[in-house]
Amino acid sequence: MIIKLNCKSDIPIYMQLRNQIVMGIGHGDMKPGARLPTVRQLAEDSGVNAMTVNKTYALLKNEGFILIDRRHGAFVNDNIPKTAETKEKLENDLEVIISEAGLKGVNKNEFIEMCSRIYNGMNGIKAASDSSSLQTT
Amino acid sequence: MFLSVLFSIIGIIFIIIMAATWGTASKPNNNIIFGVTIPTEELEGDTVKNLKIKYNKLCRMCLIAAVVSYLPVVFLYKQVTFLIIYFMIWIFLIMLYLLSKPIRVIHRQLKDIKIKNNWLMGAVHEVTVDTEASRLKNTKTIPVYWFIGALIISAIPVIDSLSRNKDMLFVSVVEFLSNVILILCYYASRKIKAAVISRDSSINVKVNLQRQRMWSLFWICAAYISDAAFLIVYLMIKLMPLNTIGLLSVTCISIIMIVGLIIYISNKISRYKSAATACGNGHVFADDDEYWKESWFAGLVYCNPDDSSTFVEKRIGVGQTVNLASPGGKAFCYGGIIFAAAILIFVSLLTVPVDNAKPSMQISNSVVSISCTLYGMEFKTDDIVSVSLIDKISVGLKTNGAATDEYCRGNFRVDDFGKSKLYIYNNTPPYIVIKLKDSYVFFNYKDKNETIKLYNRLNQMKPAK
Repeated sequence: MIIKLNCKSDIPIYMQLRNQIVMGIGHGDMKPGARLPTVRQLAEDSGVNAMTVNKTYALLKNEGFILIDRRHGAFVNDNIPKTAETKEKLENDLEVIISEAGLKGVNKNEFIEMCSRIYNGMNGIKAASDSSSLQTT
Repeated sequence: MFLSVLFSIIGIIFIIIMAATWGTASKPNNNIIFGVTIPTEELEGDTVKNLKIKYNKLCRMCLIAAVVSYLPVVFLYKQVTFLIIYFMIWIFLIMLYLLSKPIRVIHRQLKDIKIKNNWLMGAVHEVTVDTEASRLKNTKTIPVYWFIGALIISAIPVIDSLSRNKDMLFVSVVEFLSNVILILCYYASRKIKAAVISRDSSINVKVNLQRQRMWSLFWICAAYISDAAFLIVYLMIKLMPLNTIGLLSVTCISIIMIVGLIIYISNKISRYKSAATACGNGHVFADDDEYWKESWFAGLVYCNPDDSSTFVEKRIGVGQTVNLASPGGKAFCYGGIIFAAAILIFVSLLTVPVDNAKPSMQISNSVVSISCTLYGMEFKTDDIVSVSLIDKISVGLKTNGAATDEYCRGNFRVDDFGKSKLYIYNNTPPYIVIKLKDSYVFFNYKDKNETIKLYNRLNQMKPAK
């Protein structure tokens, strides 16, 4: 998976890293169970401080996207927990995004079409929901 | 003459390296040509073709200038002081300036054209990482314990010097410690960022593993070559009569092998990269041209404060260069310059006074004192065992002194005599031989009559055997 970090962006590096990994899982670039580089490896290759990478991995672990094993390092969780807090946080985030979009001229249909297009591109989400529906049937 | 031959060989090697470096600049490498990242379609365009013609012309002119500026070294080989100082200036100023000139000029022109035509490739200030290449980094690197053999080879002269004759102990220890520097370079090269050249992770993984393996192999081979060469030189000096040509040959062959290895490895990595990316899809670009700047003595230098790496792959030439914005990079670069300048000053301070010294012998009632910059000595007349005159002298190994075509001054081993102090003009017999209790002193003046006069004076104090 290719990660891109913008050194001059207003978004903190640890958050950019977190977002890139989450998007990578969502797009299917990182499959469930796929291993991530160690903190030291990622810090060395990205030029980011190891503490920053550590912070990102801790955040991803708290959110349930990755698991950390002492011997094998970090890997993508194959059973990302679905919690009520997720929907609540999503609503809060969407309020801001929709307000901004709407005020800047993006209408409802355009917005929904955009969401649909992006969602359809998320091969990782489709695969995850296919496997969970297989388990329930 | 020996110095002149040695400098000539070094000069030829420098000129070959210069030509090889120029060659790499005009070959596209992942869309980078002359150190500038440009669109693929422009690599074969008219702009680049015209720049290549200009570049080749500049290279030819600089090559002629390098050879012509070298000629004084060839013709004035007898003036040792001038030879050493001029050669140092030639290497550090003329050669580095001439080496970088075509690269600086064309790089600047292409960069200006790129800005004018808005050929921006990829996002600036962006760092790209391939998580798989990062995760599998150094998994195929040659392990560090392969250095053990080289350490054993370099320990042999040290142990031998400690147990027997300590003449070459200092240089043997220095050679042994140079392995430490090579091991540090090995580790530094392992830390180089995994390059991202394709959207296909498998290509990035293959190319990076190959590069890491090859460079780890280089540092280990460099250690073996330099240690083996030193051991051969050491044994040649210890076991055979002094063979200058043989020693020179071993040294030059080892330098050529190491330079050849760098060129071979860089070519192999480059070909592997081209083959791997040819069947892949989608190149990944990070346009960090702004961090590559022209430098009058280094061609192109990399200075990126947002990049924590110490070493990065060179854009022009072969091998790696430093990130001048990193603390390690600054230490390596400026430390290296200071070290080179210190050696230049140290060598000049040692050789220039000695070269211009005119040794003389003063005899008082009970003391003989020989004045010669750095290598003067004094001994009592009572310590003189005998004084004689010889017409031929066969000087062996120099342990600490200065030896040129014209003179020998300092500490040497002389065939049939052993440990000796020499203050002689070569090929100007006769030579006075003063035997002391545990060593010999050889002395003469350029003027034969002065030598005989001195011998007679010494004779009055001790009868000749």
